[in-house]
Amino acid sequence: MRQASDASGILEDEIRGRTYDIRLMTRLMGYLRPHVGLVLLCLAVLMVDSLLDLAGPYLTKVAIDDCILRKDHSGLLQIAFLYMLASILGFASQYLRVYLLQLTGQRVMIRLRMEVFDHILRMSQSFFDRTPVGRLVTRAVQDIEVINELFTQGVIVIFGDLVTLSGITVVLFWMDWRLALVVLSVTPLVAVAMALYRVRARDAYRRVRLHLARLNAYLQENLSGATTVQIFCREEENFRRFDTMNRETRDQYLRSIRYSSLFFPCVEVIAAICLGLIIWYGGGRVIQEELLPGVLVAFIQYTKRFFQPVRDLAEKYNILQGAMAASERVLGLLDTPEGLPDPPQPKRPGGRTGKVAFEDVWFAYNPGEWVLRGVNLEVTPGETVALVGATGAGKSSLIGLMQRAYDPQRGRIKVEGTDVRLWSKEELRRHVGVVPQDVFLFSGSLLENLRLWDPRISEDLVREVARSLGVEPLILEIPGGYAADVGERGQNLSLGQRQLIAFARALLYDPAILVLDEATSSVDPATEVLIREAMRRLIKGRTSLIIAHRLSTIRDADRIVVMQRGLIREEGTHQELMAIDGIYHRLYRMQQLVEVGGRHGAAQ
Amino acid sequence: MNRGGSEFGRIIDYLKSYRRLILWGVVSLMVTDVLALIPPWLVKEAIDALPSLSSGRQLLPYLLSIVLVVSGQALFRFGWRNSLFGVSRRVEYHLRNELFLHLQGMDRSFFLRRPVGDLMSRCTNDLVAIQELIAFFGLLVVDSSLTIGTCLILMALIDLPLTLASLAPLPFLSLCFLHFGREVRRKSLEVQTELARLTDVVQETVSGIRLVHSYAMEGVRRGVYGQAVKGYVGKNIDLAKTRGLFWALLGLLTGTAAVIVLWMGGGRVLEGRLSLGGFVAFNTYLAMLSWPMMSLGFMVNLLQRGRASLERIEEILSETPSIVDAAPSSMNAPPSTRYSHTVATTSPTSSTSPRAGGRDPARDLGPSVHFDSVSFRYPASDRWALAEVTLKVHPGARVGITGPVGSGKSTLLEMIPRIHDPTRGSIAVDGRDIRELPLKELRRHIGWVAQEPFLFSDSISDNVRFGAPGEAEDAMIRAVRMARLDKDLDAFPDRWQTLIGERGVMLSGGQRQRVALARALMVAPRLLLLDDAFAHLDAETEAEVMANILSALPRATILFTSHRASSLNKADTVVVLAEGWVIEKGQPEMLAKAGGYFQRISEQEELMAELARLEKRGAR
Repeated sequence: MRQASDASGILEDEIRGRTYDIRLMTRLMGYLRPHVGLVLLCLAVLMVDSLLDLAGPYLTKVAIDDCILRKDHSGLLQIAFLYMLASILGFASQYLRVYLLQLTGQRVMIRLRMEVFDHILRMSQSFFDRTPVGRLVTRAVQDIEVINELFTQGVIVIFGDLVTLSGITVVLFWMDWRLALVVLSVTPLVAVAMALYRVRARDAYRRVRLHLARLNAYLQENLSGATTVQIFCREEENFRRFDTMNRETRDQYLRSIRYSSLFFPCVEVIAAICLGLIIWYGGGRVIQEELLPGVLVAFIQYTKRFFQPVRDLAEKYNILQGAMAASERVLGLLDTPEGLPDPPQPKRPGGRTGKVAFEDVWFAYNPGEWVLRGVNLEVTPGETVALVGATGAGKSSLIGLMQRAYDPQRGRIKVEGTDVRLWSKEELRRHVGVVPQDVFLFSGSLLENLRLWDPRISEDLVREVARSLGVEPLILEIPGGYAADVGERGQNLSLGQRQLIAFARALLYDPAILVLDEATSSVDPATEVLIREAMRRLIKGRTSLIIAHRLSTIRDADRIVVMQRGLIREEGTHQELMAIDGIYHRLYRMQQLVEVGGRHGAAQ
Repeated sequence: MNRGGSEFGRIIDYLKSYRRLILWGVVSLMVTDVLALIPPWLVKEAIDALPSLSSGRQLLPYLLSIVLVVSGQALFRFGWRNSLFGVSRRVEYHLRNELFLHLQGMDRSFFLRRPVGDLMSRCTNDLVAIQELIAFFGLLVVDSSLTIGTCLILMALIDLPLTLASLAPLPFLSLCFLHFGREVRRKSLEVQTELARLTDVVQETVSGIRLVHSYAMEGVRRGVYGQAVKGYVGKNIDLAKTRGLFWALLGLLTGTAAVIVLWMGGGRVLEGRLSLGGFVAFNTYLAMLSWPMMSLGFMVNLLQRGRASLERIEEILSETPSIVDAAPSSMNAPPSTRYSHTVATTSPTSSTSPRAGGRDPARDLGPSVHFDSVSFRYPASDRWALAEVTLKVHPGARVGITGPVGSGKSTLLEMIPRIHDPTRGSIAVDGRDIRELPLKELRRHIGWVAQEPFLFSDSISDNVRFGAPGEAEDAMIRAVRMARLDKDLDAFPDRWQTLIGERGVMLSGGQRQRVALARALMVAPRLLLLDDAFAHLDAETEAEVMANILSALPRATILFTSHRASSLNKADTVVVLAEGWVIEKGQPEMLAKAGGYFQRISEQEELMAELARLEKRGAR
């Protein structure tokens, strides 16, 4: 379900993706290092398993030459017993092989998973502004899944195949070097077939992936924009385009099927040539009595197994390709520098007075489109400042800057007298608490969403704070109360309830400085009273910056700051500002006229 | 719709059209399987002949015949692989086309119910499962039954008692399959569930990243994620244990059979009741048996997954849109005919002919639009989005619609091109009930700009020409100028050919709206619907664009929603909505004095304008 959500991301990645890269491999191998013991154990088990697999033909040879041809009944029983023993050992090694491979793969992936997740957490807000959620989910979940396949089915299995191949070669030479040379004489043919196939298969596979990604991206676009397509009567044209892409994709698939359909029969023919040579040359030597019949039989059986890894390799090839592309994407994400790293030695400002200062702050989300143009603002400890202005005046940007979700292009922001860039982000964000307009809820109980899973906050404290804010009655109104599961982004909660949850959350964290983005949406009068009262308690005795939409909030503030187009235009108390015939005066009159007007204006 | 009654009906229909290719594939497969039995027999003959031969040269015929047989086999192997796997991709192609066409015709309520992610999953993952089912199921059935049958016969021919003895582990084998098959499936499901949980945690964390950062919740989320990873890893290892045991047991059982053959068969060679060559061939056939045995489990799995996926796709394909042409259509025909029918209608003439061809928008009078007591409720909602709206729009009239957020403005506009159909009441365009008009004919004359328009990840020119792909360049230039996009165009790196990215991410909000406006103007609309189309433009640009539109389409009927009184003032009639009801209606000059909502927003805006003037004076 989620895989599909970023088809166009895949497209972009696919175009970037190269296929094989030694550096990539070395880096991935680095993740194996902490699990060296386990990896070695895996390899040992794999070796034992591969070798036990080779025991069968050899025991058959011994049975034929030493027992059957010599009419030794008890010897045959012994061999059968040994064969059974090998099967039982094989049982153990086979089990361990599957189990240990998965165990190692998963353990190795834990670290990669955590690293990717941690890295995502460390990225700055601007990264998330431009990266779709779906793409990050794919990186952190699906791509790593594919890399796991590289370990469990790729690298280690290939190693196993190599052990089998060399084991067979050794046994063959040991039994009869001349016949072994005959078997090896066909290997150049195999090598040529493999080389030819690999080049074409890689190319075909890449084309398939590319076409498929394009096709799915287009499909997704047409689903998301279905209404647009319908209104503009583009159904036929878009279907024609889709059909073309679909057809091309199908043809690429057919092409790759043709290659593999050619390759596998070729390997069979080579294997048959090898078998025929053994019969002819080996049989001839048996006739000359230079070779025991059992050796001939063992050669025939080993040759069969000799070609198995060749087929495996060809079949695994696509998995490997996909895994390499996925590794490149994941490592690429890990290489994306985190936007705003902490300073190497963060300062630990001692005070908790609640002082904030903006000094000539210039800020733009996109180069050249200034949102703040030289803002100077000082907030003294304990003061409540109401920020007033139209949408786009730059009020919300101030919040992001204070919590260092973004850095300003010019100027600086000081909290407790220290530039925010010198703080550790975690400490800064605990110091400066933000109540956003719309509260985000994680799946889980209301209680946990209030204390945000912080074990230091007891349930009693949560209740106490909720009571002190006067929001408990509202919480108890929710079916389930504190234990209510509010997941699915809290869609079953009213706007008022959501806002009050945000207040309670902020109060529980007790920040030295509070930044509050007052919600613009209207609520019923009863809830309105609750919110007003809760807010009053929340900002009491605390430095507070409020992006205000309610007249009552504005009037109650110690200072009102009027912003317009990224600049502070007026500052003062309500009375002071009303006395001059300025922006605030007009805004205030306007607000009185239409509470509604300001609200829907801001809701956009 | 009911073909064969099962979920396989649809693919069987498609498979039927590849009857010959499939037949050729199956025959090739059977020939391949039968030919595969010959080389072991030749080896047997060669070994048994050894004692009677005097020189190695006499073995040359065996070498040649083995290579000959396998070369012949290779031809047929190529044949079945190419045709059977090829068929699966061809059917996948048809199915994908059918899905696309079907989804393309679905209405808004369908897409509200089914998230795009879910639909995409069906069109990708489920399609893969179905393709694999088609590719492998027939192959496995034919391959397994044929190989098992022939191998057993040959083994019995070589030595019947030995055959019976070597099959002793068989009952255990089937028990093993039954038990572990179920276990592996159960545990795979658990793994899937854990994977879904893991995905949810990542998704949730990234969606709530602002909160995570702002409350320094990184540690908490890392903990939740770590737990999910642990659960997932645990289930995976659990599955690996079961799977490992399963494979190991299979190995043990086939090993046991080999031991029986070695001991008993060896004994029989020793007693002279079995030739050495027969012994070797018997071993080879026994080994050939193990793969089809193992593939049984794979087969069951394939069938189950494929069937589940088919059901999920059927679920989508069996839904019918509620908004369709009133004229009798071929919707009830079986899908293959329906599909080809739709393909047939895709004749180039119908869409490359410019929609606006031959019409002059400046002279063509727009249609009248008549809402007759229209009420509408969204499927999942219990409140009315529109309540008994009655509205007469004369040909060529300009109607402005306003009201608070959620009052039903957008819904009202969306009723006209039939994005929704009224729950009650009716709408007529040019005096004809729109439900009786063919959809194409209704929509062909409509230009539409949404507040957050959907743009395609194509070039600017492709997007502007979206509704009129055949239109000449100068028409495009005119539309772009009208939408005031011409200056932006010069700043784009490749001008017209600039790619705008997924949903137009490379553009600013205002640019997106103006591209959408140019796109709407390109179809030379007789009826233009602007749904808060200029929210991202400043008032000045909005006024300019609005004036451009009005003079460029002097006779078109225009309905627009806006929050700005300055725009609304340009309308002949202003309608104010509140919670779906029309609460004010009339000429803007009149409403501005009526003491209602419109008066309030007008005064507010006047104040804003005054403020701006003040500011300018201050700046000087």
